[in-house]
This record gives sequence, C-alpha cells and structure tokens, in this order.
Amino acid sequence: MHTLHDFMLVTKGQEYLIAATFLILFSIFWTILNRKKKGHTS
Amino acid sequence: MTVMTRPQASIRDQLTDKLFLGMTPGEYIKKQITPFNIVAALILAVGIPITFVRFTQGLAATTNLTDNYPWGLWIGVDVLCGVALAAGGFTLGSAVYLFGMKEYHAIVRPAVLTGLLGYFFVVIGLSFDLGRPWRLPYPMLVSYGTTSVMFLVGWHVALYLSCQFVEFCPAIFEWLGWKTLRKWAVRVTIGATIFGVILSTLHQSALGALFLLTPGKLHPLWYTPFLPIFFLASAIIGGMTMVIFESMFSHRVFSRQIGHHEHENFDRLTLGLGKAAAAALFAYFTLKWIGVAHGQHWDLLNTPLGYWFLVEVIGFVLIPCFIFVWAVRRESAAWVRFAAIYTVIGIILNRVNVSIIAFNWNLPDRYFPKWTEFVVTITIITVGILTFRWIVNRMPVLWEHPDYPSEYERG
Repeated sequence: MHTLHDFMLVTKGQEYLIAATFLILFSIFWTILNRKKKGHTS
Repeated sequence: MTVMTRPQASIRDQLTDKLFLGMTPGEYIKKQITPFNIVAALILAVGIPITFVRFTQGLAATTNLTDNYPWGLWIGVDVLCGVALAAGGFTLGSAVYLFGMKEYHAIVRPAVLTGLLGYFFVVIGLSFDLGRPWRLPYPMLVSYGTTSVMFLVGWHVALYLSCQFVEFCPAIFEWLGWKTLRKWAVRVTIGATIFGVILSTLHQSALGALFLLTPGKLHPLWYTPFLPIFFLASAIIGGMTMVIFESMFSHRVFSRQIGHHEHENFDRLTLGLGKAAAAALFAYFTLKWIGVAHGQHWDLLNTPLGYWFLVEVIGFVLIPCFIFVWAVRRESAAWVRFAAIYTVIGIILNRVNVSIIAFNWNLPDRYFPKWTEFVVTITIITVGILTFRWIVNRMPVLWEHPDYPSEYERG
C-alpha cells in the first residue's frame, strides 16, 4: 500500500468481504440454530 | 377518641404488613439471621466505613487513581458494566411492548426492576468516582455542555432512570393498593418504554463514544470508530444474558412466589432468549473483525495485547455463541444459563479491557485498583442485591397480583 487510495481500497475491500461473508454464514447459522437435534420432537 | 384511634391502628397494621411481611418487627429481625445476610452484613461492615473515608478524605485516600488513570475500577465496572448489564429492561421492553412478543411478558417486570436498580446503583457508583459528587445535577440545571458526550450520557441516564421508574410504577401501586394511580401508570407504560428504547440506544452507544476521545491512549485493537456500535451491540447481548442470569436466581431464591405453570414456561423462555443471544453474539463477533479491518491492525494481533484481544473475541464471544447454539439445539435450558453466565463475564471483560487493561497500554506505569476500590464495588453490588430482594419479597414482580389478573396481561 503506497497511497491513500490503496489503503482505502484494501480497507473497504476487507470490510465488504467480512460483511458479505457474514451475510452468507448468518443464513447457515440461523438454519442450524433453528433446526432441532434428532430425537427432540417438541 | 375511638374514631381517631381506629384509622391510626389500621395504617400501622398496613405498614407493618407491607414492610415486615405480616410479622412483628421482632419476628422479622429474627428471621433475617441467615448465612447470606451475615455475609452481606460483614461486607457492609467493611464497606460503609470505607465509604465514609472516601467522602471525607477524598479519592486519594481510597483509590490508586492518578492523572494518567483518572478512571479506574468504579467507572470500568460499576458504571460501564452496570449500564451494559442493566440493558435487560429496554431489551425485554422492546421485545414485548414494541415487537409484540407477549410470551415474554412474565419476565418483563423482573427485567425492568433489574434495569432500574442497575441504573440507580450506576449513579451511586458514579458519585463515588466524582471529585465533587454534589455537582451531579449540574448538566441538568446549571451548565449545559451540549457539545460533550458526557452531557448526553448524564441527561440520558437521568431520563432513562425516570422512564424505568415509570415502567415499574404499576408494581409499586399494586403493592400499595392505589388502583387509580396504577391504572394511569399502566397507560403511560408504552410511552415510557418507547422513550426508554430511544434513550438506551443513544446512551449505550454514547458510553462507547466517550472512548472515541482517546485515540492515542486506547490500544488500536479496541479503539475504532465503531466503538459506539460495539457498546450498543454488546449491551443488547448483556441485557438478554442478564435476564437469563437474574431469572435463574429468582426462580431458585423466590421459588415459592412463582406458580407451577410459570416454572414450566420459564425453560421455554430461556431457550428463546438463548437463541436471540446466539444470533446477537454472531453478529457482534463479525462487527469486531470489521473494526480490526477498518484500522488495518492485523499485525497487532501477533502481540501480547493482540493475544488478549483474541481471548476476548474468540474465548468470550465466539465460544459462548457456539454454546448457545448447541444448547438451543439440544433444548437444554441449563446450558443456555451456563452460556449466559459465560457471556456476562465476557461483557465485563470487554468493558474492563476498554477502560483499564487496554487503556494507556503504552505507558510504563500501570493502574491496579486499591483494595478499597474492590470493597466499594462489592458493597454496591451487595446493596443492589439486598434492594432487589427487598422489593421482590413485597411487590408483585414475579407473581400476578390477584386484584389485576386480566389487566396484568396488558400492563
């Protein structure tokens, strides 16, 4: 990183990547959270 | 003569009945000799003289605070942790009154009471830390520092404390048998809740914003422009987990006050809160990494304080999150309670990190609280628990008042 533009590009790029990963993982997380373990019927 | 004495006797009987739970003062005092009360009395026996020394001889006599460390244990734990962990009132209030999750209504009153007492004792803790505590009302009455975050925090805590008092008023009026006032208090509850949610959102985040003023003092892994968001998000988690924690103790200590049906329902509510806490922790974990990315401080993770940061974020955010998920899937309320206690410790660790451990991290001299600071903190917590118990033993907090069975559902 040599310029402010490089810094902003890398920083914002990482932040958006984390946010996008979160959105994908959260949907999986929510599915797992709401799925009852086998043997629990109630 | 007869006309004059009868009402007086009646008032005295009523007072005795309400204050001494139907016993004579002598019987009541005898019944207070319990192991818990003896421990509490010992704590107060040490804490009260230290309080006297603090207010007569100043901060230097009772603290290790310096110009470099003007905020210590009392701000880090009593105020920052106190406010975060008292967030149950606004979290549950929003869920029930604003989002219509009526099934949680049974635990709103204990949550509001925890919040009310939490904030009240935050103010008490704050008055210990202020050099001139008698000037506490100055932001409200004398000096309007509208550009200061502290001004916002001062006003908000005062207003929110009033809001929570209004929210709790129906229970007080039910206890006193003041039906008309109780009816009016129920009517304004929804307004007070909405106002309280607005205030909480702002001052929980404002407490984080206070540390935005310390970019050179707070370690870069904890210092981020997202601090206000982190404080708000973690306060919501703290509120939910404290409700689980407090309910767990209430259902054991005040078991007789709670009906069989409520006991059965309690596990279901605990699982619901656990699910919400898991989702909130997962979001908070992600936010923490956005904070690191925003400052480009990845290299600092491979330093001693970086390892400590990882302990906080992985050990006290991600791991409890997974425990919550595991517990909810197994439908184990006991594990949800364990995860809640774990998370509460994590919230306390976060506030202590921000205000003490990672603060002035590059200075050679480190602050460690004096023993008297610990005693005052323990004393305040003890008085808080005693007050909570005093109220719950008298007012309809965990049980439904027989005179208001249907109205209770609404108010």
